[in-house]
Amino acid sequence: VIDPPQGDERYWNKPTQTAPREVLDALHLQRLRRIVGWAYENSPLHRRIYDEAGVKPADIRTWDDFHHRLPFTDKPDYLRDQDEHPSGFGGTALGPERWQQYFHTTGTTGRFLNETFTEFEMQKAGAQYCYALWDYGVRRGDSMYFCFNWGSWIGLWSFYWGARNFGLRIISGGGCSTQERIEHILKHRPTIVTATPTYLLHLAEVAAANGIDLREAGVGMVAGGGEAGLSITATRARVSKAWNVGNHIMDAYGVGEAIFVGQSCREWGGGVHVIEDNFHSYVVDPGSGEPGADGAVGEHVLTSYSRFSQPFIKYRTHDLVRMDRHPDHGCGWTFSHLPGVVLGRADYMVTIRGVNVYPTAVENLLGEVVGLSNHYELHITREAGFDRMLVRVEADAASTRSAEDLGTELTVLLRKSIGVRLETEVLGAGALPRYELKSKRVFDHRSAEERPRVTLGQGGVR
Amino acid sequence: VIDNVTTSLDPQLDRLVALRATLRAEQQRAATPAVARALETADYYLLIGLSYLGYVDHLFPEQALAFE
Repeated sequence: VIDPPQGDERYWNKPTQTAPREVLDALHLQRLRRIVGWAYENSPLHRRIYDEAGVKPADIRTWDDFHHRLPFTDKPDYLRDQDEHPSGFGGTALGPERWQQYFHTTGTTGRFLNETFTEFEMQKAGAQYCYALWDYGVRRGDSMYFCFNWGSWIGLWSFYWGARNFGLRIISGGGCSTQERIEHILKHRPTIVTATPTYLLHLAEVAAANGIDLREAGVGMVAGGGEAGLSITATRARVSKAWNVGNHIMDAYGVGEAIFVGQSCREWGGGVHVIEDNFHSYVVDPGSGEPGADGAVGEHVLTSYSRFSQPFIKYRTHDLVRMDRHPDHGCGWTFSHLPGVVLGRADYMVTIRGVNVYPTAVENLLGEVVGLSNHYELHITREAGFDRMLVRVEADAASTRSAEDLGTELTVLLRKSIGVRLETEVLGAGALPRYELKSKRVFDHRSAEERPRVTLGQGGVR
Repeated sequence: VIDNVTTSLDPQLDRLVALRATLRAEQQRAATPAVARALETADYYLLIGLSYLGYVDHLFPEQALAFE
């Protein structure tokens, strides 16, 4: 049982975690000026980008300067630089003598971006996980079980650094089969099990198939990220039920290269808070590149204060998010909140008869159809000048409903909730692939010319 | 030399900045590589503590040295 701390005891770092917005913004502006200066002095890529834009670090004095004079950076900038650089790493600002660990992105956008981290960056990146762990009531002596194989994806590695930083007892599930991990969990009875939402459900599914009820495993909390699921009401409810953890579900949103992390608070306001001690983040209009209004959906642009060997400044994530800069759902955190976390990808934006269709909205609705599993794929095509989306789902193993019946209900529900008709296809139980790490949900079959081009107003620079 | 602390959210910040100056001085005159390395690691953690309290003059431990 995890006892939730009361009053100020719930805050990992109250001075900033509950600071007024104007104090946080003042800190951000100073830190942004520092990191821009560092990058300009030490990263040839950043110096080139800033010189081409005709801006020097000393020019960044106000928010208007930051928003309008400083150029955006994007993954292709780093990919080009890594191609040209003998080290194979792009945008670096410290030499290899300071690098301690390498990673690369998952390649979901086509190519790997190589990432390098110093010892301090790893320590600091781990520190950012502690805010939520502390808030939920996790304390020294608790334990965390990791369901991953310690590969080259940083996501759960950084979670591991966080667990070390926090002082948790760590139990590795690396190199194990799903069945072996279930046995570990039953044997060690960890306080927390950490995995992607899909894999958390897969563990429960495999356990049930073998006559094991993970609700009896004594796990007090589950945590994860890499997918939107833990901030999607329907998926969250499935996870909660499968593990019997109530509201003790911690979501973490990251952007691997920038080691960006947002975390859910104990109240769970529907998404995650930006850990503003380590990042500046804001939302821009995908068309103009102008800062979005509070609560507007736009592309998420971030700057990391945890990345010095490879700075990421005003970096385009291509994630579509809604940002609430004045959250008020009872937790007391003043860090910005992203309800629903990643609503979709700017690159995958699908507009059907004028309606933007977000993958997360579709996932949320799947949970309302009794008899469907949580696994799905969205296939985007363009025919006769119009975007189309096929929602491919699978029946739950325990369901006795016909595919036709399930498909009809889903089609009607999607039409009623989203406002447009999406095509649906219902497969048999277990037909869709299971992923240990990030699940691939969206398959965009449109050509490069047919996909939306998100230019942020041609770079957003005046 | 660490100076020009620009934002102070808690009075402990000033004390930790002074502690860091002492720590780094000891690191410079460490008796052995083992002690130097241990103090370097301590500096990493101390700077994380400083950053929690709103310290912005250095964003990471090596910054001052790199600019020098």
